[in-house]
Amino acid sequence: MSIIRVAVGAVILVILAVGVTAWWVTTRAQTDARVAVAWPEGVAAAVPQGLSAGEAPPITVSIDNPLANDPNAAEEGKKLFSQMNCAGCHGYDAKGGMGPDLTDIEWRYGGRPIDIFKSIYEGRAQGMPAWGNALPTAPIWQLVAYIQSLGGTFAPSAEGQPQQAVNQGLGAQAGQKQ
Amino acid sequence: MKRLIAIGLTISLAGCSAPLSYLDATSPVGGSIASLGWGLTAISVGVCLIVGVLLLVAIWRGSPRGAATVVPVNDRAPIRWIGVGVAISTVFLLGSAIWTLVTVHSIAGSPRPAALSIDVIGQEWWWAVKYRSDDPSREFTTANQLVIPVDVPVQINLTSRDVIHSFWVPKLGGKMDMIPSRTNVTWLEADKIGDYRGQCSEFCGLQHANMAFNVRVMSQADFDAWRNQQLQPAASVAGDPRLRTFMVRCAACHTVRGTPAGGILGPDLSHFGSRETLAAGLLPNTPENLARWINNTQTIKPGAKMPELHMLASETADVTGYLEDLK
Amino acid sequence: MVAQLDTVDSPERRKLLGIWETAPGLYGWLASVDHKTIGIRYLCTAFFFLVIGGIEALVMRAQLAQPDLKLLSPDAYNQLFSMHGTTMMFLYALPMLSGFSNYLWPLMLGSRDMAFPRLNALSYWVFLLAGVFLYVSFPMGQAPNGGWFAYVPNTNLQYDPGINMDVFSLGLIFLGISTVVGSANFIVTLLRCRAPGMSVNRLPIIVWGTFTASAANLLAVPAVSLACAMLWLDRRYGTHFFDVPGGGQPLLWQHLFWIFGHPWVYALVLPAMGIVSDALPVFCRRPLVGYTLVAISTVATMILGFGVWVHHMFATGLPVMSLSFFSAASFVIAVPSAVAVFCWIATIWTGKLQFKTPFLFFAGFVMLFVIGGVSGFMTASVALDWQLTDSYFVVAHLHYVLLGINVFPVIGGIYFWFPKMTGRMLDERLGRWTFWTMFVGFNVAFFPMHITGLMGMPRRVYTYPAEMGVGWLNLISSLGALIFAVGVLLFLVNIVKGLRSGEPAGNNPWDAPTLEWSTTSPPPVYNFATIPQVASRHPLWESRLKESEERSVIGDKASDGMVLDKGKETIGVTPLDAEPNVVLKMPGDSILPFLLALGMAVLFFGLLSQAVWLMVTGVLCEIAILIVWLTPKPHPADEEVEVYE
Repeated sequence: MSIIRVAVGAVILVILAVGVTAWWVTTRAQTDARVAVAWPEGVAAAVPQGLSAGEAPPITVSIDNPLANDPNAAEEGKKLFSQMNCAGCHGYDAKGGMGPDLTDIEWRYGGRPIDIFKSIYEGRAQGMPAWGNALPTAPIWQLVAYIQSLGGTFAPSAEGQPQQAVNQGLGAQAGQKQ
Repeated sequence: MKRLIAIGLTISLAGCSAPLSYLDATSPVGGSIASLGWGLTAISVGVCLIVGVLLLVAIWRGSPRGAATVVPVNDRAPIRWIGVGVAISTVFLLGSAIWTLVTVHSIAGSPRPAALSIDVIGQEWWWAVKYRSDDPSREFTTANQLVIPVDVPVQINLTSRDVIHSFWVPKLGGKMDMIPSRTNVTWLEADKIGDYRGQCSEFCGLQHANMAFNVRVMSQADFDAWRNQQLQPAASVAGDPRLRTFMVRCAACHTVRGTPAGGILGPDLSHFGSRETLAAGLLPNTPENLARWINNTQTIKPGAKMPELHMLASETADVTGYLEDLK
Repeated sequence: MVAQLDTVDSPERRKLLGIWETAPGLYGWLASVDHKTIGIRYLCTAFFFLVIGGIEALVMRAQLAQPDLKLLSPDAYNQLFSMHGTTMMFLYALPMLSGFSNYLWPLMLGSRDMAFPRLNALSYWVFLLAGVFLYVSFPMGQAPNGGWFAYVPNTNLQYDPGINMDVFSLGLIFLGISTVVGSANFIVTLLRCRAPGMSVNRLPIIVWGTFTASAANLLAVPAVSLACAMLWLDRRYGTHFFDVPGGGQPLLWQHLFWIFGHPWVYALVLPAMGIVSDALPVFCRRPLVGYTLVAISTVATMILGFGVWVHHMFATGLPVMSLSFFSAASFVIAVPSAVAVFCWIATIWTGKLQFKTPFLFFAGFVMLFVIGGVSGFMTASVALDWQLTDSYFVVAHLHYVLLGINVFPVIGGIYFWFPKMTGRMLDERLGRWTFWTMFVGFNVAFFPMHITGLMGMPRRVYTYPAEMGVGWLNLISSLGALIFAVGVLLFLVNIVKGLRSGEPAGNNPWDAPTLEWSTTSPPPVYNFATIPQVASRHPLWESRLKESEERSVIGDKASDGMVLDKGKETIGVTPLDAEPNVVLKMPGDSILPFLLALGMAVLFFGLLSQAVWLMVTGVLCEIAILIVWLTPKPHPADEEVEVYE
């Protein structure tokens, strides 16, 4: 009888110890994730500076990414992702942090290339800055190309994209993957 | 014994320079509340002393002398004394209630019309401050600081852009919550020139602990000069390379009046150089602290909405130099 | 535990033992509906949660001992303070008192069990599983992090993604089932399951306290369950009760929560005040002074407690007229408490004192009650509260009232009733050390917080700057917390020592007056061989107090009273005067409460993980079990009663 009690007590203690350790590790990890990885010096100098006199270039509304056939666009976009500090909010691997995950198929404001362009250009509520003031359209399309390469975006002609805001719950939006 | 020490400490601390202590307030509202506070504290301490003494005497009286047997009891006298105790307590309770209601009535609204109206909008985890005016051209926005003239009632209009925060300047008055979708109105009036610290006092998430602000009270003349200075746009030299860096790195979220930087997500940085603190009261505003803040945001204030910007040393120098020059 | 057999061996007693005994083995352990077993389980589980909550507090105090420490990240701190509050307020305080009441009520009332034994078992299992449900979030680093008060919009999905607050809201709904079920059980037990002659003016005060708290819980708990359901729906199903962009009202949450929260805190202290009212007079060798006054003040406090909830919302900008009303009501509610305090002091004053450990805890309780009460009086003043609220002054107040009025009487109560429950005495010397360590540690930890609050330190902060000037006070508080923890450790040592090698206690080691002290220690499983007939408030002191000529009959022969051994039976009485009018048939061991609670856990985990198949399984299981539970069974004839050998 007392062996059973000792065994039960030991099991409870082990569960507690594992639980506490797991809690400690996960909360530390959440904090550490916020401190972005340091990247190499010198990259910023290559960033094309935006117009500082307040002229916003007009939006050229195309249906597809004009750089769709440019093999280097995604590469350049990836560099810009670091240089313009998108990673600071969207995570170094674009899997989200303060900002949403860019690799999944959930798009609050639409997942077609033109929707992603507009989101970057105009900015969006709750923290997405308006990069149209700081970047010409070409680098923005390069960023779009990079995000497309991550696999979660939709075809340019995809219909019926729900354009709803937050509180979608855990249900995934129906969509086609490119 | 512990209680006596505590009372002594409390009294002596009143003279201490604790920036958030409100036992010695410097405002009509704060003063009213402080008197009430001292009064109720005195009553409370008195009650504790009396009950403590009664308890000790009761224990001393009841200490075993002879057999501890159960014997018949007559409780008419004890019940009468209980009645006396309850009656005295009720009188003090009633008196305190009346004093409270009188105080509330006197501080709920300013006795004189407010000479200045300021909107304070809480965000996670900083304060947007908009000075209102009948003349729209004299309205402007700043952040994390209030500057007000001395001896003048100031109306504060409080709301929030996200969760519930609470506006509290202990030395100048009580707190008032900032609730999204509502505007709560409170008022401040300071008796003495100086700096007073304010603090968020409603749990609002990760950095509730580091959401402070500064209230600077100046003479009316100094205040007018300050206000005029704030209304000036930034002296922006065309082609200033520091401004270019600022535009690329900071303008998406921050505004500096007089430049194309018009971001509304972070605090307004116009005239940043004249502010006492940065990051909502967290650090004194020095170039070193500013550089640290920009490049180590998440280490200094984990969870803050500003992402870490690992800038080159040259970029950091540009931005800090530019901001500190915005007096 | 030393199981003392009944000293009188008779065929009646052997028959009763056979009828009432729990089945042996694991089945019996899971299926027991004996109120004494359930009571002890409640006490042990609640104490376990007390220790866990205490460890959470110690870690927080380590982080706050000095300015700008980096022991905990803000996220970790927020989870700790939220779980500390939730654990103490929901998983420790009320279940501990439920444990006392469950164990003691039938014994004090002269009955053989509670009115609904299976419901009693259900309320325990649901409590245990709800506690597990809440704590399962910890290893995932997703413990509730919005505070135990969970204000919106901070806990809306937008600002609190992750499942932290889903665990919280569902967990509280789950736990609410246990509370409501237990409250219903207490109310019906009080009204019907007493010994003949145990009229309402003879009830022990702990019965008054728990009864009042149960009635209040039936009204208050649905408010928080509703609020949590609305929060969960907002977070997961896109409703807009509380989210501002959708037109929701943040203040609605506060009203719903506090209209529960304030009566709840009175439910947490009134039974504990009852413990003191019943046990303190034993060490004063005289009945409580002003029994009627204390009973009425208990009920009055609870009723008034429903009219003060807005004092938690004084800074929200509500109209001054309504704030004034609630401030006045908050002053008035101090009056019944003053009555009770003076009654206790009068009892000590006119008594002949025995300085045993329980007495120390009860005397300490009176002082802590008053200190907590006056800091409450200060916060009742709406104008002063505009400075005090959300500062460490309130933290000081709430800990003085909760530890002072709940924990100290509870520990004293354990010292008092441990001999009855286990048949052994706890060590007196160790008990005195425990008391003084806890008392000194508590005051060193929490008294400075009054000053910290007056110096402007806000609450719910994971750190504070050195310039605030409160570093030294926080260090003192942290050291005091450590001392208090040592006291709790000493208490645990005493319990273990007592269980192993404590002096055997007789039936009535304290020479106390109430009915539970007439049985053996521990009581036989059937409580009373014959149902007692009660003639006064203090049955075992009647011949000495000489309040009247009547004498209670607590006998052991069939000629002394009803034996009621045709199955599991106890007597039902009229509510006010306790005249017997029906023989109640009690259910035997049943595994159904445990299964029903398990089914609920499946359902709630399904809701948490949004797995429809889990939800459906849970619901179907519940329906099936309830059908089985509620199907009436034929009563066995006399000879067919199951008797375990």
